[in-house]
Amino acid sequence: MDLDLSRYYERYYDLIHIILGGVICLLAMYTSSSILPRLVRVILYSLGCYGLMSFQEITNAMLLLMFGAAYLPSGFIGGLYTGHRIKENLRIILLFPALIGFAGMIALHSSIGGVNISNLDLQREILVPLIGDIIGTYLGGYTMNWEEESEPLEIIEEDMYMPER
Amino acid sequence: MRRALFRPPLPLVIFIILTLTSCLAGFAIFYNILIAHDRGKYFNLETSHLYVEFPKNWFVFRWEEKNITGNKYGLVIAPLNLRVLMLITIYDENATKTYLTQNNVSDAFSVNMFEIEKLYNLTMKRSSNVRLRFIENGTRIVSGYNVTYSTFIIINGYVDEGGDTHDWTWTFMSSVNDKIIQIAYHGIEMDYDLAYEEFQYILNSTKIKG
Repeated sequence: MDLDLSRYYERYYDLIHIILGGVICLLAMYTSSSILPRLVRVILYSLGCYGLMSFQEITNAMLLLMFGAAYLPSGFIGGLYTGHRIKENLRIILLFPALIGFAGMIALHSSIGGVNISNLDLQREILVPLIGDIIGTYLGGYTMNWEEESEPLEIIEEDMYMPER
Repeated sequence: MRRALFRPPLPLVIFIILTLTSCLAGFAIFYNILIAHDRGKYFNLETSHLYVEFPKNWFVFRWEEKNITGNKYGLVIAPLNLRVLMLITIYDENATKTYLTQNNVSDAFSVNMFEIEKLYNLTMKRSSNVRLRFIENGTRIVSGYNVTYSTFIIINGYVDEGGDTHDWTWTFMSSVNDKIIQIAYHGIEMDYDLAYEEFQYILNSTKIKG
């Protein structure tokens, strides 16, 4: 039985780790995209300027914050895992954890959060999360494999930069 | 002595730069909005139909209702820590005609009475032992418009989440010209008094365009 499992594990190694990377990405995305807007509201309220949330321009600010502090890091974490486990064909493979994470997040928001999929805002709820997620995943995946693709680490003479004693 | 120079992977550097840049840009927009709308203890908000100043820790929700029978524009202004709310609604010419015809009203006082009766009937459905007590009727100027107002308490009119009833104080004001302007603010028991000065400030700062 154990032998069978290990045979399947080897056979579907890439697929398993792509899915696991996607799940990590999804969990990070769902958690951060749920917590961050609330955190911003709490901070604004405690600073005594909650009224800022009333302005339409705040949508762009929130979008940038979500991109930088939620979608990009979530994709990055998923990409780190996938890149750690899989070393080949990253250019194609890294796309899948990002897509799994994004699709999972939309599904979770619609089932748990009660968001209607047909009323999703194209820019705020589709394009920005998807792009952030994909960029983050690729950056994470290549961070784990960068040494193999780049030149060997530069070795320097420390004495060159040290003042003579 | 030789040592390796620490050089982080390029993707990690790009990730850090992207993250920091977008977060900083987001905060810069927050700061810019804060500076642009700062009026001391208040923020100013300008829409296509209204200008208001509201306390910094209150929130404002703007809404529009567009129909073939006319358009309505409005704001809801409320704090988070008190059970009070202010509503400002402006009807355009078509919506005004429709409202006056449908509800068989003609002036500001009859508009007030119609809305108060509607509200009273609504509260009676949710709570028993409801009584209506008028405090004050009068007129005042808001943004150059002469508005007629009525202040009243709906005794036991508000039912909270726990099922307890509270007295509900309202001020309802309206002006009927080529367009109807309706302003209402209300609060539960002491909360109304606590927010009263802020309501007056918002009212005095309100400018209705057109």
